[in-house]
Amino acid sequence: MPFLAPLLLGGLVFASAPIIIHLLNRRRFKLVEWAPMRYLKLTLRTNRRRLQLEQWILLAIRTLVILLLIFAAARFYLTGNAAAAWLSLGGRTSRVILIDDSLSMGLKTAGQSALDRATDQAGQLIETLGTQDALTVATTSTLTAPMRRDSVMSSDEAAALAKQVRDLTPTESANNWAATLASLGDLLEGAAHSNKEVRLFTDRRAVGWSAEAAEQANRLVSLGVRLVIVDVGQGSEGNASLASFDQSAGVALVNTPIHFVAKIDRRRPAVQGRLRDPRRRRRRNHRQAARHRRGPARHRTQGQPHLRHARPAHRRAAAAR
Amino acid sequence: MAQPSKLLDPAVLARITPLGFKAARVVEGSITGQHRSPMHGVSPEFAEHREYAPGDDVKNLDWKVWAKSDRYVIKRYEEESNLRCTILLDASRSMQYAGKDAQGGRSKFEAASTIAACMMQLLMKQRDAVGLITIDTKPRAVLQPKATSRQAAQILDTLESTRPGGETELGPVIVRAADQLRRRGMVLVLSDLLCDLDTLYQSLGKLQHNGHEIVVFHILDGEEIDLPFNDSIIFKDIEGSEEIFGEPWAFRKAYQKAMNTFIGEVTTRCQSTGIDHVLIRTDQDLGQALAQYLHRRQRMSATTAGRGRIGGSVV
Repeated sequence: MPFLAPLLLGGLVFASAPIIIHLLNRRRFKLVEWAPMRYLKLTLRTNRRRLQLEQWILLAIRTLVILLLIFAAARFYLTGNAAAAWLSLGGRTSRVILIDDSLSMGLKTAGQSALDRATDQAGQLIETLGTQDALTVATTSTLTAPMRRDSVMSSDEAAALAKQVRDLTPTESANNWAATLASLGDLLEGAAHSNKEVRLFTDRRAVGWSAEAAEQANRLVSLGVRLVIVDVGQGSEGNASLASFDQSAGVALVNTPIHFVAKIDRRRPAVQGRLRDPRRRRRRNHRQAARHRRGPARHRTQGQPHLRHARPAHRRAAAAR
Repeated sequence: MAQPSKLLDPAVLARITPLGFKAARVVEGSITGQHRSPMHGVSPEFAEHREYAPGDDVKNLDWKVWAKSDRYVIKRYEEESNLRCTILLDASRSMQYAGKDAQGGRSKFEAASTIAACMMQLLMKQRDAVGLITIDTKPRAVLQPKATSRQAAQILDTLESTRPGGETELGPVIVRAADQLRRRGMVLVLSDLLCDLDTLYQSLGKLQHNGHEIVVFHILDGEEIDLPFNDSIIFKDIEGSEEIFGEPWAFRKAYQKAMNTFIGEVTTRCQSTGIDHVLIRTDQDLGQALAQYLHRRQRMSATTAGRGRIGGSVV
């Protein structure tokens, strides 16, 4: 929990004061020789439960008051995103927001690209982060030259940065996660605070992940970095058909990049039906053959005795021969 | 004469003496006094005529009636007698309790003694006979009612020398004390009534049955009713060894309710059986409480005059 003066939390010992005072009070009492004992006992007997409950509630309130006082003295604070702070922060943090801006992030589903979703969430995060943490914001294509590097921002600056992040567009690059994570590790080694967190917004394409990338990820974790991967991709794409494939430039020249625009139509859903099981078919055939050997069922032919031993026409002809 | 007893509190006496104390019911006294008696005797109050029977004294014949109707009748007068009052004083240990706010620092027993002494003084002045029985687990000092000044000194002596002790067993002891009261009179019970109430009611009923008029002075300390303590307290049974630890503020209301129920019950019970019940709080002025009671009693006897005539019903 966030405290500005955690040392003062030692004062929590005082929370036991009401209990100690109660115990001391028990030692310091007045002795009264009492005559109407009968009515005193009657009172205590009939009110015992209520009295006990009251005592406990009182003790709880007294303890709570002291706890709150000590919390106030230790300067307990909650930032704007109180819940997030409560759950994820343990003191000041060096935070890296890394946004995957490879070309695949431009894939639109339901009118929104993965990058749109990523920048949206990242922007929100930047705006709601407190002014306590050092923040680095970068894209995978420009990791070596981040938009912000380990900087503490006022809320105005944060808003400006969030806008800047929301304006990001996909770049024509592919991911090489091994290199990205390696330079991320280098970046975090020189971070200001000991608490480190990386939030990686990506659509989790398989391209670029390798054994080496996994190694780099493990290195990050061993550095004590909290690595959070936020998936902004949309699950399986299902059926897709190539609607058109055009060449942007009329002529393809040697040693010159050329652009192709492929339009993929994904409107038809994938077939979700069950595949035919060949064994099932075999079993069915087997059942039919058995029924045939037994001959027709009796009840089906009841009342038609002339049909009981009837043979199909071609069999009859063969028998006659 | 010796130093006047401190029990005869002049402040109390000054308030109650002018009021006087008259029995509401008939009492059997030995000399002429201001209380009505079941006997017939010499008095200005005419009571009734009775047919002459051989053996009657001729001097009592009403000659005027004989002259008018030629019948021999005896004229009878209401006798007025003195009151024989017995004070039953509870001298158990519970009466020893003295609260902080008690008037003059009196314990309940001292307050009871003061009331006893002052009532005695009042009655003696009316030439009534007063007796005293102090009780704890059994009747201790027993002074039969007498109207002599020597008796007054003796009663004061006994009151001053008695130290409360023993448990309260009012019920059975009153029954035993009642056996020693031969003639119809008045019984003043001074106690905190912190005892078994059922046997107490029974024994009071027996006293009533014997024809006594009963006044109960219910003496309690203010602290015993209100429980005004603020510290943690160990309540030690004054008549036993039991101890209870408690923080009085936590259950004060409930305790006050229990006490008020107790007092209310005693009051209604006494009212329904025709016993005068007077609650005396030692933290309030004794003289005032007594004067209030005596005043009320005067008014009552004025409004119910004529009730309980000669030979009238006994309960």
